[in-house]
Amino acid sequence: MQNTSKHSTLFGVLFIFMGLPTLFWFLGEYPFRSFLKDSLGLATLLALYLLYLQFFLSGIPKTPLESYRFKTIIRIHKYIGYVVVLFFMLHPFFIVLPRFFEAGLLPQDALIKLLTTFETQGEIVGLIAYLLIFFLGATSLFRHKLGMKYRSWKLLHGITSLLFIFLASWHAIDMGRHINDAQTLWIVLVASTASWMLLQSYRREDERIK
Amino acid sequence: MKESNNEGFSRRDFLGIAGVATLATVGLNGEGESTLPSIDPKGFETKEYQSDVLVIGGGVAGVFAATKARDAGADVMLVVKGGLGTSGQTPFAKGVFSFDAKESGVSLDEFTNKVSRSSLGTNNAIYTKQMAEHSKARVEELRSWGFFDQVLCRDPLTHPIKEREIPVMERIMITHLIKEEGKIAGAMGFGIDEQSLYLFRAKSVILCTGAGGFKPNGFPISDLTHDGTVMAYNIGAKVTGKEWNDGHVGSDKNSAASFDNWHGMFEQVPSTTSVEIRHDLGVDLNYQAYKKGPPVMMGPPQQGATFVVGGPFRPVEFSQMHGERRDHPPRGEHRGPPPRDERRGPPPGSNGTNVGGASAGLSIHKSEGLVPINEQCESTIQGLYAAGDALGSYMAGAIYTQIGSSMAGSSVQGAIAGEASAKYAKTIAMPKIPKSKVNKIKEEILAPLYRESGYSPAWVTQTLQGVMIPNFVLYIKKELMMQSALAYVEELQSHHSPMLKASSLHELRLAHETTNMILSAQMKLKASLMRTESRCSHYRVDYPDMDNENWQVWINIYKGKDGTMEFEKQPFGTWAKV
Amino acid sequence: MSITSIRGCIGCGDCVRACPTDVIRLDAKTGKAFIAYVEDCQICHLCRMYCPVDAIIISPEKMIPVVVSWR
Repeated sequence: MQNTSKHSTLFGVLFIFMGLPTLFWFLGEYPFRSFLKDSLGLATLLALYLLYLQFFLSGIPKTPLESYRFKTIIRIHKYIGYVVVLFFMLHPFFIVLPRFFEAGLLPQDALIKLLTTFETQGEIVGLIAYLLIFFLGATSLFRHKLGMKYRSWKLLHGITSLLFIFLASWHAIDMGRHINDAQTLWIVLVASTASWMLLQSYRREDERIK
Repeated sequence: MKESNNEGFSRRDFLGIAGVATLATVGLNGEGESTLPSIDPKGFETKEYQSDVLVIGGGVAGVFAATKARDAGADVMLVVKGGLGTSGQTPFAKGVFSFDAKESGVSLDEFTNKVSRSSLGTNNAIYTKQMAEHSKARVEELRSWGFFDQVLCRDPLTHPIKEREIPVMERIMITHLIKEEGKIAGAMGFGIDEQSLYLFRAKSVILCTGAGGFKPNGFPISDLTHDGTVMAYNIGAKVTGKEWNDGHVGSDKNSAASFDNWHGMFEQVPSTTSVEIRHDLGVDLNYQAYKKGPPVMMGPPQQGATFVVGGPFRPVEFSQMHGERRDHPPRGEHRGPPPRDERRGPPPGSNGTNVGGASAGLSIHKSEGLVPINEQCESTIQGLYAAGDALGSYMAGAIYTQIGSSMAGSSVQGAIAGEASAKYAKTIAMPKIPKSKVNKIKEEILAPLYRESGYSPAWVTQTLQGVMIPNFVLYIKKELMMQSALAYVEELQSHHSPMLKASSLHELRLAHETTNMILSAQMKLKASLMRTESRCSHYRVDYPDMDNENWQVWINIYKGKDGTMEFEKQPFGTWAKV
Repeated sequence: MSITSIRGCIGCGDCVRACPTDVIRLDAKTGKAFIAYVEDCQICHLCRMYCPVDAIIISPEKMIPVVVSWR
């Protein structure tokens, strides 16, 4: 009985965070560019959804994943976290990577241009989010060296994550080349549910302290 | 703990919801309709600049001209219709000729003589020799700027300009040259991005504006519309070479796709070429198409090409046809390819049938443009110089001879013109331009914006293309047909050109370009009618043979006293008289 | 249809400068490049090759009727 529910939860998670985004990606009927470029594009999109999933794997009670063991959840959270943080740290490099295999602006010139252009909202927001992901990664990796209480660290981590997904979603919706209206709505829905859930948990904590 | 979703509203809740709302707005506004600000013809201000030497054009000739003029001590400005290193044919040129007598076993004189034989005497041997002589030095300079290190040439060509702090003004279309007291005094034009007119006072001007075509399909020369030739002609300069044709063909499929037509060549890193004299880019395939009808294929007969007897004369020692050119490297290889011609057509037999007119309106490299009066690239107007495809130097002759010599020639001529104009600028005072003249030019520039009714430049251009581009008009020439086409073109010239209407700066540019193309079409037809023989890339069915008795001459065109188009013959191997 | 789309533009303006025929402009409000005059695209791919984020897609088909010497 519990197993079935676990399975259906897993299936639901896959559907929400992988299935639908991929479906919207396909429905966009974007022109084929190259295997490398399109794979990177899809991977980036799914990595973004994995970040949303992180909110549900953060051990907050009252989520659909409550039935899993806390320890298991946190272990998955950490694992996904480090992989996705690493992925997004490489995000600017992935954008210029195909330039190694085709004619045009040299990859190093493209990268410099990309990191030093501050002309559009989406780009600036993206660069701030880029800095935040380093912060998130570093504060998680060196949590024990920070000398913070777990509770305050958790709050810092949560607030940074909130800010991060807000900026990252903005950046993705504004700049993403495989973002259509359906994808936009789904991102907004998933991102706001995730944020709302986290904020709810804070409120519950507030109430408990009172 | 109980769920309290609907109990009150915390500050955090509010922030969260506000965030979501912002996200949604941003997302849905992501792909709105973009528009450009509207234009008020009365709202133009005139910005004024001054320099010893003004270089117009941002290809390789312009870069060398500005660089060398600066090194010779002149105060230089460079103005370009598009971007520096991204305009004209330079961005697409992948082969640069570098002459080395030792390596090739060919002496400078032998080289020059062979070019003269291939070009049937149409070349100016002094310019041919000059190109070869200086090519290696220019190639080495290009190399030091990084030109041979990457596919794109903007950064390498910007390098020497930045180094010398030469001011560059991009996206400004110069439409008028200004002559005062018989000498060049400056130029004027308008900005493509903002409502501004630009007046440049200069002691000397170097036109590096390239040649031009009829915005043909399949060749990346739609920004080249003979602007330099026409503005120089308008102030009395002599121009030449209008009867010659560049015979590039394109692919039958997606004929307008310049990039695809060149099968990856635009993606290659430039390299150097060595001595290889040919007789290329004439109208042999045009003749084949005319005689047999389409489909026409490139390449030797066994690959599907048909061989037609007769047609344009080709000297025996240069008897290879287009299709028998060197093999291309495998596709997709763009790093360090073997030496290539910068202007070669699609590789033989690789894409089936061809259609003509890919470069319609363009003459052979350096055969059309301003008539030089000496080997210093000086035009018939004092203080006005031209280099590269803007100069009718006949460096290659009326047929394309040495592979890669176009880039080399533009570099060499740019350098020579730069030095010469700097030297000239030292001898004269800064010219004065009367206000009345500036106002008159301003009126002429802005006229299409003021018109409330008139013809669209795009439509007039298409009409011109329809008249000029057919094989039986531009390439396989005969008197009656050219007379008929001329009637159309003169109608466009007299009635449509003065009624071109523009409602944006983009369209204003198109309007001036269209006017220039119409004038060039008229020159092309009249010069072709005048040359009653066939030679190199000029072929007439009614005069199919070469006539050495009467036509060992170049045809110069100039504006007569009453404004009519005048023609004169200039014997091969002589300099034009001022 | 020549230049087809620009997606993921960071607004550096290099495509505007690179285009020989003034097809692309920057939107004053968003700062992003947009296709302003597609009919003048000569399908040379310079914009695509200069774009640091590879945002430009180009198709080999021309928007307006193509005039050639024979067919």
